[in-house]
Amino acid sequence: MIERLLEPFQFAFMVEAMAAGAFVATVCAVLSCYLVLKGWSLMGDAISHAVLPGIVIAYALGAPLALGAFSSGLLCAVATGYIKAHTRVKEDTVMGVVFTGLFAFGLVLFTRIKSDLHLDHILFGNILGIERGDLIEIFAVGGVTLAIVLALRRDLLLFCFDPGHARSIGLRTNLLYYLLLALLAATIVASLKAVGIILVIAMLVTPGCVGFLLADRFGTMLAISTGSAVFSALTGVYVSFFVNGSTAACIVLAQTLLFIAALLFAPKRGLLRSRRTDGQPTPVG
Amino acid sequence: MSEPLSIDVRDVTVAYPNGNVALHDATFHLAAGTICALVGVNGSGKSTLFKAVMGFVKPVRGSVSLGGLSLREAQRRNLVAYVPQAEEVDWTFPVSVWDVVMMGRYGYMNFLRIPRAEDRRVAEESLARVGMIEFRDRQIGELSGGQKKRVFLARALAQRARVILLDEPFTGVDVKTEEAIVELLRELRSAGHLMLVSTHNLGSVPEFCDHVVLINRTVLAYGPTDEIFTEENLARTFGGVLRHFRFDESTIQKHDGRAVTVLTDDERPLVFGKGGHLEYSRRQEHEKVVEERAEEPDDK
Amino acid sequence: MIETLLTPLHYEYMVKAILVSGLIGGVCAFLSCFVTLKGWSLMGDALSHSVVPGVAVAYIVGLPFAAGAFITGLLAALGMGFVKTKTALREDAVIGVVFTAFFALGLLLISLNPSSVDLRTIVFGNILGISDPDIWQVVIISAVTLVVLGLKWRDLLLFCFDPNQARSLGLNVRVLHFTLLTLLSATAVAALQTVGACLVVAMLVTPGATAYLLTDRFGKMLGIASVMGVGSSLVGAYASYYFDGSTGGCIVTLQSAIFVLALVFAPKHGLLATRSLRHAAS
Repeated sequence: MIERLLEPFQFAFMVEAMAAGAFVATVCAVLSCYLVLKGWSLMGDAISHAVLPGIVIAYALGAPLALGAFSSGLLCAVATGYIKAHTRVKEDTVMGVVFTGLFAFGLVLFTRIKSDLHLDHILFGNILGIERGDLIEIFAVGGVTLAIVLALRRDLLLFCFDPGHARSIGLRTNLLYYLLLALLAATIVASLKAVGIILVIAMLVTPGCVGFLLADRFGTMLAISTGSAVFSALTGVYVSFFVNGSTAACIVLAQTLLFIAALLFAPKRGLLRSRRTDGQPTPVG
Repeated sequence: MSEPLSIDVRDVTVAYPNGNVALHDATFHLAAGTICALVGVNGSGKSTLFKAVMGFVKPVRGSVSLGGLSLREAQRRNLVAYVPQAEEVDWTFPVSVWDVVMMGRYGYMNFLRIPRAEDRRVAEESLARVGMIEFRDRQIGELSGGQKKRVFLARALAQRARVILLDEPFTGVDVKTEEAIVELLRELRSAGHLMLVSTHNLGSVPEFCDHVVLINRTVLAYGPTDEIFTEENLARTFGGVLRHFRFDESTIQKHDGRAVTVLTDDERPLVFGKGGHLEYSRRQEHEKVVEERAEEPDDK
Repeated sequence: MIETLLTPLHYEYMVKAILVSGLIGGVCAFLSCFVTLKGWSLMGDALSHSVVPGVAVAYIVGLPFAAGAFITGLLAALGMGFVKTKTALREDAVIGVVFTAFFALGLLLISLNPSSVDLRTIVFGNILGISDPDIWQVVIISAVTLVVLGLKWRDLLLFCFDPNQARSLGLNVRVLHFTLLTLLSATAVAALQTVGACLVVAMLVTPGATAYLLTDRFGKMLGIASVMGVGSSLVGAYASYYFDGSTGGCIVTLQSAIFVLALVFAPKHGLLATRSLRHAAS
């Protein structure tokens, strides 16, 4: 029995997948706290879809795929910001138009350029087949991103909370705006190989929401988000070994279960908690 | 502390990317030791002027400078603080009262924004000054409207700013807090600070503002309150939007021919006469009331 | 020359695909006017991802795909509404959490049953290989949607523009809200066949956004969007013959290109027009 439970750890690819998954989860979780607070949750959605044409073009040119992905992700964010500022179309609409346009363009390019890229791996990740080189890339890109976010965490928090004040004390809010976008794009690039561009959206939203429901200090929120994301990544990879299903999907579903648990049981804001206080008014007297 | 500070806004024109010109050729000048009201209707460019003074929008023409410094330089020296409107703040944010006040000290901290003993001392002192020290560990959403306002004022104090911009500071605030805020602003004025307060609360302007800037798409007039805050200027500022209640035409009895005018921008004043009865702003349609009251004994 | 251009039309499957795409493009475009004005663009994206587990289950147990998709789409919408009212989380975060959860569930189901469902069909659509029963489902969905929109568009417009006014007129706002959500789910299901889950949102947003740049009248907006939706879908599907079957990619790329043209050259709201206004100010 125990032997069966320990079986996954005997395979190098499983251990590597867990390491990569946990690391990617950490980077995404830290960033997700900012995105959830800033109201940028769906920016992750947009940028992650928009990396597709960049990957295909980079492949055709023989450039590093990560560089291509990063550039086209950023292009999406910048174009969205520009169109929103210069027309009367609402931001969510602009986002929808821009990222689908880029994604569709990427698809068309993909069919025209003969490559050995696997579309399925780009979309859904291939964490079990991750190679040494990929692992190094994940740790390098993710590590730099994480270091920058942690070093600037107070400035970024202030930028999300009160950009007016940030500006009035001389912080360059424009710079912080683009920095946060660039960090988001970099995180997506780092997560590509592990979870793919569709489910990375979940990694960039759900942990932050879990933290938000449970914490009323930012530090606590960061810790809870990261903890829940790492736990989900490890569990997800582990479970997927036994059910023989999509690993990325297992990771995301583990996160969803934690979110539901937080939704129900959060000490201050949980649904069950508020129901109990509603039902039993405190006796007066 | 430092040299007296002034605000210089010269020929500022702001156009938004969609082509809308929100403000044109706005010019005014304010010196230190002033509480100045920024008065105008909604859509008059009031908030745009505020944004221009804060550097949130870049004028297509004209300049804003503080004590001869460019806006950026002034901000870098922590000379400007901003107290936002309650609606602009996301009160569900996981930050405590203490965290917010500490944000006022960021400009003095190092790259990693790690507070030193001095920062903590100033933050504590500022919180104590607005009477919020016992709430320091509350999450900001758990405060009342007036307490929230005071926390953001404490942040401005902690910043040691010389120019403080307050956006509608009295909306959603109880009378006691309003008095406390006004008192604090007066103290700051005597310490040589410059406060610019955007408000639509006309009645309170003469109470505590010594200067006013009147705007309607541009600066119509600016200067000391008793010179500028005239009926004629206000009529220009508010156009037809302002509600008048002129006593020389009203159903009030025994006025001596000299007019008293009540002005209010978005709500109509309810006026009770000497006898505590309702008054109407026109005599027509109310001839009966006028007659009845004329027969009443003189209440002098 | 003309001979080669007509080649795609010699295949029955191409003709079918082009016609069905045109129909779906038109319905989506009609709805997109409401979606963009209501600010529900990302709701469209979320719903189109959320229908995936339903489609997977339907294929696995052999039900009509539309039924399954419709059910999970509505479940997701209800789930979002529920979480939003019960927590302080921002709406966009709630949407993100819920739809990714549904999509992950769908992905897991598919990966467990690789033989009965083709993932690519769901994610990218497969209009070229659409079966006749599926065509019937799409036609029925489109017809119902068009009838409802045709009868109730004034109510829905008022609901998008000013829900409070709608309520004060005695309209049942909850029903309207639910109607629009249902229509959105239904068209998302239909569009899934043509362009796939990832690109449905384009069909539900881009025509409306383009028309919004070109006109200030809602009636004209409906007209422009529909013409653009039908036209781009017909042409895109036709062109996909030359692009190894990436029908969704072709249609949406075409729509995006039209949007960019409108963005730059629109007479009143385009970039060139507003730029000259700004210059006039300084």
